[in-house]
Amino acid sequence: MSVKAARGLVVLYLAALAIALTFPGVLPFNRVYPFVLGMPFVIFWSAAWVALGVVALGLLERAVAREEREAGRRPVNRPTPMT
Amino acid sequence: MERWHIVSGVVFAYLVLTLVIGIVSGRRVTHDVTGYVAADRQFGLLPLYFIIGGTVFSAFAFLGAPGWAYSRGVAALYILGYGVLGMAPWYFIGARASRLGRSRGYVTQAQLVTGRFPARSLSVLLALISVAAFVPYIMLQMSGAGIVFATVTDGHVPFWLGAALSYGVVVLYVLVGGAAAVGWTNVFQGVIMMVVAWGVGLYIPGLLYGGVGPMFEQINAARPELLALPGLRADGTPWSWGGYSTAILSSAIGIAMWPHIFMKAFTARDERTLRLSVVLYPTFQLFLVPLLLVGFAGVLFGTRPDNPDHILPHLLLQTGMPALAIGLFCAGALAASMSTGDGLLHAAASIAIEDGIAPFVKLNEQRQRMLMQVLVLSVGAAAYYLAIIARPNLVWLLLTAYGLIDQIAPPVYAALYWRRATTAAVVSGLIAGSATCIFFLWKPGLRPFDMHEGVLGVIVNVAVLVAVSLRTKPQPDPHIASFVGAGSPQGPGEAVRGEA
Repeated sequence: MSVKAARGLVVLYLAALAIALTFPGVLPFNRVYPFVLGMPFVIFWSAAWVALGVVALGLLERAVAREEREAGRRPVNRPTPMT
Repeated sequence: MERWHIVSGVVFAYLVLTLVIGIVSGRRVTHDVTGYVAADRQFGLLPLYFIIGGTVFSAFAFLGAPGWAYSRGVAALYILGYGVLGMAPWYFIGARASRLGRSRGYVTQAQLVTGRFPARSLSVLLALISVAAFVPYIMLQMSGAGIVFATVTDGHVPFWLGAALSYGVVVLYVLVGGAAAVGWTNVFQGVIMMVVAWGVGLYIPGLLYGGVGPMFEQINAARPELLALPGLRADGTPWSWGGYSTAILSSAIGIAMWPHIFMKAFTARDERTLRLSVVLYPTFQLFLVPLLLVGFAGVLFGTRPDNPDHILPHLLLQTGMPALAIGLFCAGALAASMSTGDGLLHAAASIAIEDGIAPFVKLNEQRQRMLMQVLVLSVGAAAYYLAIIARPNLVWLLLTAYGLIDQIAPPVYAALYWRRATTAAVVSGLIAGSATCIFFLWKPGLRPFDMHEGVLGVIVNVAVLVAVSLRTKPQPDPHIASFVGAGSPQGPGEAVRGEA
């Protein structure tokens, strides 16, 4: 994915989140059943949007990092890997 | 040995370890202002991940969040909703701020804003808003620590002593180690917070109801109103959609604008590190889910705490958990309180000197650092004194703070993204927005659609900013270019890249 597309995706994700979790976008999902992971649907719905953030931002970071590599502009210091 | 002995032992061990980590890490940075305020811009991904999580989530996560779920039901979901919405834009803003900080030597938020909009009045205004918002926030963290201590030791360690012990440790390591101490202790504190939250959150519903699913089946049968948005108000009456929705928006605008969080952009080793810490932030935030589950577990529990915010420690004590586990919970809650309180205390001192005093008086680095340390001590002491004598108004004060912090967002966004913005406009917008916010706090009945005063303030703030900008002379192009053109990671202007 290009950086531009990934960037659009993140903006889209944020806009969708803002709509999906507030009035009136949340209304269709404001329900108890079905339970997911033992939680009422509306709780799962809110948590899932949070988790989705890692995916959206992760895709963007992958695209940005690849572009930086291709342009030969490595960051000055390598970040500590999360192990 | 009584239960509270073991609990206090665990907590004492936690406090000693925190102090050691803080003091040792603080000795490894330089003794100038950048060392004290921004830890020499050397934090890698692992520390930054926990610094951001630990700083964002305060004692509120362990006390207030379960308290909301317990007394107000799914209204508490607003806390889940705003975090990512508020932090994701930081992928762009934070990286840009980090780069500008590196090339231009900024260590505070106001320095960045006044770099684009040079005005000492703006610097002082931002410093005033920051410090005014910090003090009640610090007080709230202190009283959180005091409450946890008093509850889990059955009052053997009184409120005042618990707050004094934990914040004595905080003041010491902030004093000695500055940002480095704040950062490395936050790593330790962040790990404890996550482990305790997930542990307690999954254990208690299982213990009381045989699982999360059965728990919600029972709640849905007995109290269905708790499981339908927008949930309830604190008094048990239904909350409004306007209130719920704008609570999410207001907090989302404010979260990354809190100056003590924003400043962390200047501590990152490089932009990529900062970006990755934002990418991973939602994984930290999900620890709110188990904490909300504990709150729900209290709904059908036989006994009630005297205050909904005490539901988590109440359940721990009433379900006969082993003392070791209670001690660990206590360490987790203290970690949450302290990992926010230390950042606040450190930022309050740094900002007061860097943005409030330094623009007017010529001070050398040694002098600035020393003044900051004096302020850490005096702000800590003042907040402690106020926390002990003035508890009832705290929540109201913190709400005021959130609305005011929202008003910093338009100046920051304008500084980095809008070429046409002018200094006069930013100052007028900030004043108009803050005044609006304070007005609606004073007259909550006049708020349209029950909207949050912070959001109302931002609407006025932005309107004034745009209107005045278009009527004043634009800034010179070369000046703007280094801020707006400085580009998000893939932006066009790469003029300031390749420094360091």
